[in-house]
Amino acid sequence: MKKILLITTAVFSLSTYSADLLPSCHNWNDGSSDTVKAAIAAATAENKKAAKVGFEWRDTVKFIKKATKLSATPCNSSALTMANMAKAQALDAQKQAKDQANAGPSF
Amino acid sequence: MKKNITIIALAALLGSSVAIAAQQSAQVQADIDAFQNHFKAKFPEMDLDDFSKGPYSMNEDKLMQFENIMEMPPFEDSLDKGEQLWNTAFKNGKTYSSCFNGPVEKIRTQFPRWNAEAGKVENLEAMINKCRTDNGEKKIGWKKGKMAFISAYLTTAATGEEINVIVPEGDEKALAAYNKGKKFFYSKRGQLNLSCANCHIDSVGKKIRGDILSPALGQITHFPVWRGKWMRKKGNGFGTIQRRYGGCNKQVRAKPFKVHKDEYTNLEFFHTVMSNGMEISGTEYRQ
Repeated sequence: MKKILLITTAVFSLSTYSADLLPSCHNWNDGSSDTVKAAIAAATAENKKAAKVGFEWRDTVKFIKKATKLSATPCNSSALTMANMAKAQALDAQKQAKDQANAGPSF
Repeated sequence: MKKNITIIALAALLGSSVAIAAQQSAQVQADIDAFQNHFKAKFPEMDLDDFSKGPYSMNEDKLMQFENIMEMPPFEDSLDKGEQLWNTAFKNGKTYSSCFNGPVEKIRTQFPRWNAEAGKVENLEAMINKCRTDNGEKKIGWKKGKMAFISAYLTTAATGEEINVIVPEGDEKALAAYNKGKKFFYSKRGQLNLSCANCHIDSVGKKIRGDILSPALGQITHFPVWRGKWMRKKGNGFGTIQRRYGGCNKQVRAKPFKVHKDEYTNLEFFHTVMSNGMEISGTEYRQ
């Protein structure tokens, strides 16, 4: 009985310790702590698509740079917000390019 | 018999000259007519060349201020520098004029032009830098400084000359470049989702904060311009039309393109063609 108690305590304390190694922003669903990095990568990829069609917006790269700078601090929620804003801009820019495919005079 | 020979020779001569002189594309001419008629109908009290005064043609007080400034323009020294640079010999002894055809007052109106051999549009600033590199000199900056001085000198020398940019009939590449410029002009861009046309066709004469939106018709007649805004920034106030395009794009929160790449050069081609028939008004002041 003593043995079982000892093992259970050991396992419990070890698991608590290992959990402490992960940042509080760790995503238990996908097992990743790099949510911000993933968001920055996604924003960068989408912005490249917007640039390729010639409709990149002025501030998107600024947002990506800011997100990258903020991501140096772990679990900085502003970094994620900034990266998501950049991605949203890039997607809107791509939509704008499609909408303007037949742009022309209205008179 | 002599008469017949003379008539045949005359006919042949006329025929060849018709073949040499490029005809304006019918599609482009229809676009010019529609564009200019839109402005004439919207502002029936104005003559075609009045549009070259931009926002000042839309407001009497602003026009008065503009005319006062133009009595003693703050950029006269820069025009003198432009003339001096134009006439200064390169290391090989040649000057800029060796790269261009015709007298100095006819140079501005030759640009932008379609170069069928190169398959692209050439504008004046590009030809100034080409002239430099052809003569063993380094390129100079595209948007302001020396480039703007020389270009402004040529614009001022061409005062009163008529714009007549040709998109040659039957040249599909030239028409494609023109159509790219046209599409750029009418495409909404940036976070503000505005096209050049939204401000400079649809909203001409309306206020945007304290400024009045100028008509796209005639904007090209006075570039490079000397702007108070640019004077307050680093520089001497002068800027080329492509510098202005970049500024407009930034204002609608779109990322500006590099100057003297296809995007802005094709836009300049379209933009200038739309003002065909208007007189160059010389370098001017703008707010």
